[in-house]
Amino acid sequence: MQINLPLVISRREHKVDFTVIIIGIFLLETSIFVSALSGAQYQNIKRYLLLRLVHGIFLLLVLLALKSYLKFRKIEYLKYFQLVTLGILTSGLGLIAYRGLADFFEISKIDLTHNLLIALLQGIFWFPVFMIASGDKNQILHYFKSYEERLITSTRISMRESEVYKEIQQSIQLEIRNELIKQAQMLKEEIGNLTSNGNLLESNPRIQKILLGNGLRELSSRLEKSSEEGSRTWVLGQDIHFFSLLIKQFRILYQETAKIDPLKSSTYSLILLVLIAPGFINNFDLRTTIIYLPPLVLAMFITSIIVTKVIASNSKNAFRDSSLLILFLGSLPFLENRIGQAITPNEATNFPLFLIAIFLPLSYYVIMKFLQILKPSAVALIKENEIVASKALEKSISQIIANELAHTYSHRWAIYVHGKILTRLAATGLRLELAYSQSDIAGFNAGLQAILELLDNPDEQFGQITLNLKSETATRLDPWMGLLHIHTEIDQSLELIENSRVSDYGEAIEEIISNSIRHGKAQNITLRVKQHGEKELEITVEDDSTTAPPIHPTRIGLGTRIFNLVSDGRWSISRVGSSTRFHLVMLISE
Amino acid sequence: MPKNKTRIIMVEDDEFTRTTLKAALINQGLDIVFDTASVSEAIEFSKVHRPEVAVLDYNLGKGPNGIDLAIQLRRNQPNIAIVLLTAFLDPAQLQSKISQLPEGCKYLIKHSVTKIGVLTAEIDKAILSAPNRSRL
Repeated sequence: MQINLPLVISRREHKVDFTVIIIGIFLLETSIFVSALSGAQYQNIKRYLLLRLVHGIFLLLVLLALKSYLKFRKIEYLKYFQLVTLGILTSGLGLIAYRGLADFFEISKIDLTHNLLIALLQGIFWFPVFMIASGDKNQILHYFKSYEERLITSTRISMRESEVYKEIQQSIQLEIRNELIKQAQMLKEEIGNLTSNGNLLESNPRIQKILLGNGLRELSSRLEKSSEEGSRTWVLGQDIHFFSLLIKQFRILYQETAKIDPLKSSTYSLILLVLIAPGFINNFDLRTTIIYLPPLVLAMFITSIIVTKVIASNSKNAFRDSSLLILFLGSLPFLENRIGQAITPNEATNFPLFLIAIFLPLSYYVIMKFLQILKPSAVALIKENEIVASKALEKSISQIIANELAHTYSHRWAIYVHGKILTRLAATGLRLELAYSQSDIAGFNAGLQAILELLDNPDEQFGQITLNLKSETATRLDPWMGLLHIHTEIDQSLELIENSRVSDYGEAIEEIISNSIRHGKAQNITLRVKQHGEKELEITVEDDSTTAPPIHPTRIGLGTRIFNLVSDGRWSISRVGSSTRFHLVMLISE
Repeated sequence: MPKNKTRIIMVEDDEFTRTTLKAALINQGLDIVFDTASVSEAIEFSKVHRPEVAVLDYNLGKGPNGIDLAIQLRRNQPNIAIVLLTAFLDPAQLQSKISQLPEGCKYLIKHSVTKIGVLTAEIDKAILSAPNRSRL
């Protein structure tokens, strides 16, 4: 599909879809309203605006009737000439409505011939164009979705391999680690102060209070809370909202698509011609049109050719130069109009400056830029290795990654603080209490020494031991045995891989399994791990969950963040028959 | 106070804590028939020996947590009394977790266990509130 004019007259069939044409009606009504602002209609602007509004509603009702008819006849595809027929029918009815409404609102009408010409332009060109765009919008979205996925993955991968990522990783960990050490040190000092003077056993009640570890509890709660904080947005986790992607990537997308599959010079001219045609039809007589239109069209064609040449030159300033030229091209009608007014002043063709010198060039500029970007064939052609993220996108992804890292590390450290340190403080309290009740000074002292040693190096046991993939799988799966049946199929070639990515792999499979059992109440799980390309592996987990997973989660939880981090956004969950299937691809080489 | 020789299994991944708790409960005259850090061992043991009470740590390291284990133990043995120990102190955090516990399970903040009587009292309550306790 192309949103290129030459293709509009192709013989292929187009899917019947009215969604974009509603926007088209709005744009047409607006453009007719604006183009009719020269002179006469100014006096009746409120009534004229009302006329266009009623006329727009009437056209929408006509479209609704057409849509119902086509649905009733089960017509799903139409050829171009059939679209033209429908277009002429719609614009013809629109013309009749306009003339009736003009009488009703006491607005002076343009003559019938001009009115017919405009209706034909709408029926032959605009109606089919919007219908074709409607029918092809799914394809456009598909190409953008695919582009977006490749872009996010490649940006995430390059971010993870960058120094920035390592710095974020280290700074988050360092902050938590320092806080833990500080709290442990304070606790140790408090215990030291109590035990250095007086009877050891007598200090038990006060030591028990200290062993509550309030500072550490507060730290653990804070970490746990921040790890559980959900986000309601899905932006850049795995995908970007379509419009956000366009805005962030506009310049790069434009350059890439224009380089691979540029718009033709005829498209530049034709679009401008179609934009100015209503103005000519409405306000110029035949003689003036014959005098003024040919030189304008010639200038448009020459400038259009220069625009495409500049884009094709691929020079450093191609984007800037072509942008200026497109603006210049859009300003040609203004320049010619001013020259014409200087030679033969005419109130009817003396268009308002804001309209012809600003609105028209800027609208034309935006239309041409978006037409280039929305050319799906060009987007589809952008190869993975050529994908470049804009600075704005990189910044957004970097923020998301930092957020994911902060949540994940907060969770790990929270578990460590309450699972290891606070648990040990409580157990020490119990041990001291027992020793106290039995007046066992040696036992009391031993208990104290043990906790002081832990507080000396509170983060010592946090570090992860690197295992090979086979052992990592076993340490993650074995604890679940007894709760559910796990069947594994792992490529033998992967089993001996041993690097820092293996623990990420382990974290992913543990999260998948815990989701299966906790959310899906699964009893049986099959885990398949296969080589995927040279440097990646593919994890597929199927389970007999009783509940289907949410297709469009509205909240990002810890699991989502772990999966995004591990796979650079390449994971999915789906329901296949009575099973739930989880799929994830991740880099396994460092 | 639970009756003497109430058969208890204990699952706690931290060895220091496990041995301390075990010693304290034995000191109170209770029968710790099995203590382990492993979820699967606990499940296998309880299938065969059907203990009356399970004292479980919430955080068991990698893999399932105490709530996952409690659910499975109840599935295998509907009348088992369960006490869950947790290091959390924040009620809001605790609430979201204990709401997933099976009916009649009790929970305790670990710090309160420094007075072992608190734990034995909670074990008592758990026995009384376990479903179908008449079959014990």
